[in-house]
Amino acid sequence: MEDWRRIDIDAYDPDFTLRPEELQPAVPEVPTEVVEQKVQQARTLVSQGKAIDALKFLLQDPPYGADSVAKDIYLLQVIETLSSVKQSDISSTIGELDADQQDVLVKYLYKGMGSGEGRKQSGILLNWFDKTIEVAGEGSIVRYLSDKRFV
Amino acid sequence: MSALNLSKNPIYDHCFSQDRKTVAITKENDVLLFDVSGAKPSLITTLTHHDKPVTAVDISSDGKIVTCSQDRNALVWEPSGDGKTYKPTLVLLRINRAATCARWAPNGKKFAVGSSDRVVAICYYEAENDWWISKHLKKPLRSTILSVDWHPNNVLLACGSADGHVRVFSTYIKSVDSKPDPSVWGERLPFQTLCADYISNSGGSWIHDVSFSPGAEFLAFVSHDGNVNIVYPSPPVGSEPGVPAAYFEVRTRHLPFKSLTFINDNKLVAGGFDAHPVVFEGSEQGWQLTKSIDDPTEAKKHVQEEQSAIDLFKSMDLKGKSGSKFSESLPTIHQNSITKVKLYSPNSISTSGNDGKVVVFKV
Repeated sequence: MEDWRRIDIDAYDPDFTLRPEELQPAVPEVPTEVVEQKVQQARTLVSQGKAIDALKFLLQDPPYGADSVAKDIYLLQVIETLSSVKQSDISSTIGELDADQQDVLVKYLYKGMGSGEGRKQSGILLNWFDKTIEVAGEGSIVRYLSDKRFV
Repeated sequence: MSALNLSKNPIYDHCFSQDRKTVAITKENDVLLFDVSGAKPSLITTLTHHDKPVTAVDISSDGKIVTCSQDRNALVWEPSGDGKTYKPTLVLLRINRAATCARWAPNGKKFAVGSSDRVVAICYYEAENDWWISKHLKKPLRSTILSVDWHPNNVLLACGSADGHVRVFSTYIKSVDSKPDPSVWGERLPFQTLCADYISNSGGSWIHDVSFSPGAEFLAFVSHDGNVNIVYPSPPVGSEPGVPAAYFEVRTRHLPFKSLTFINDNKLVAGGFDAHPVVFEGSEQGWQLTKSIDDPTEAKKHVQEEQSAIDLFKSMDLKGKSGSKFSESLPTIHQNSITKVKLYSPNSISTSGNDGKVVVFKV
C-alpha cells in the first residue's frame, strides 16, 4: 500500500483554499538601490573602526522586501561586519543590541551558516551564535523558526 | 505545591471539578477520573468510548463532562446518582477531521469544540430530540483551531488557530442565550459575527492557547514563537472587526508556551516546553515577565540519584562525563513539557504535563 501518511489530503478537499503565499505577512518592497546604499553606509562605518555601530545599523531595519540578490549582498555585509568585531568584544556587542536586533542577528547567523560565503567563516558565525543564544536565550531560536519575514 | 503522579502516559488536558475534589485527565483513548480529596489519589472511574486519543476534557459548573477526540467525536458524560458512573451522549459534531479542544461555556448550557476541519462547533442541547447538536463557526477560519476560550457572557468565544490568527466570534443562539449586553467587543452580535481578528507582526505562528482576562476587557494568547501576546481591543466599526487599541508582544528567553491562565486582570501565568510556569504582570501601559515558578536555575535537583558503579560507566560512555553531576531528571517538578495551565484557586494554578503529572503551584 502507498504510504498514506504522505497523501496530501488537502488536495482532495474542495473547501480548502489556503495557499502558502497567503500566510506571508505583507512587507514593504525594498528596491536594490536602497539596499546597496545601506551596505555602503555600513562599509564606511566598518572602515572607520565602528563595527558595532555598523552592526546595529544593519540589524535595525533588515530588507525583508528586497529580492534575493539584494538580500545576499546584505548578508555578505553582515558577515563582514561580524568578522570585523574583535573576538573578545562579541559578548558585550550583543549586550548592546536590543531584543529586536538580537532576533534579526540570529536570522542572519542561520542564513549565513547556510550560504557559501558563510561556510568559509563558519568558525566566526558559530562563535557569534553561541554568544547570542547565551544572551537572548532559546526563545530567539524559536522566533527564527516561526518568523515568516525572511532575511 | 503538590504533585500528583497520575499516569505513565502524556496528559493532554486536565480539569478539576468545581469543589476541587475530583480531577479528570486524558489518557490515550480514555479519560480517567481521580478522587484527590484524600492523601493519595484514587481512581473513581474510567470513561471509555472514544477510539482515538482524547485531546481535551472539561467539566462544567454543574458537573457534566465533555470530552473530544481525534476520532472526530465529542461526548457529554452526565453523572448518575451515585456519582461514580457516567452516561455518555454522542454529540453531532459533523466534522471530518480531529477535534482538538473543547470548553464549556461558563453557564454549562453550551460548549465549543475546535477542530482541524477549520470549524468551531458550538454545541447545545436540544430537548425535542434529546441530544446535543452543533452549529458551525466557519468563516473566515481556514486552518486548524488549537484553542478556544469563553467570555463570561456565554456568547463571545475567542479562538486561536494554526495560521497565527486569534479571532473573537459571537456564538449567539436564540433558543439558548439571552441577549448579551453591549461590550468593548461589539453591540449587535448575531451568530458568527467576527468581533476581532489579530495576528502578530512576524506573520503569525501557531497559537497554542488564548484566554480572556477575568474582566473580559482584553485577551492574551501564547504562540509558537515563545512570546506572550496581550491585546486590548477597540470596538468594531460597522461590520469590520476592530483594530487593537494596544498590542503587547512580550518576548521571552523561553521555549514556546503551550497554555496560559489569568490570575487577575494584571497577572497571568503561562507554561510550556520549558516545563515550569512563568508569571507575567502588567496593565494597559505594558506587560513584562516578572518571575519563574519552580525556576530550574535556582532549584536544586529534586532527585539526587545514588550513583552505582554501572551508572558511572554508562554516563562516561554515553555522555563523556564522570558522573557526579549527571542526573536523568530535570531540575523542575514537571519532567516534560507542560500541556495545560488552569486556574485552581484565586492564588494557585494547576498544570498537567507530558510526564503524566498534575501539579498545583502557588502563584
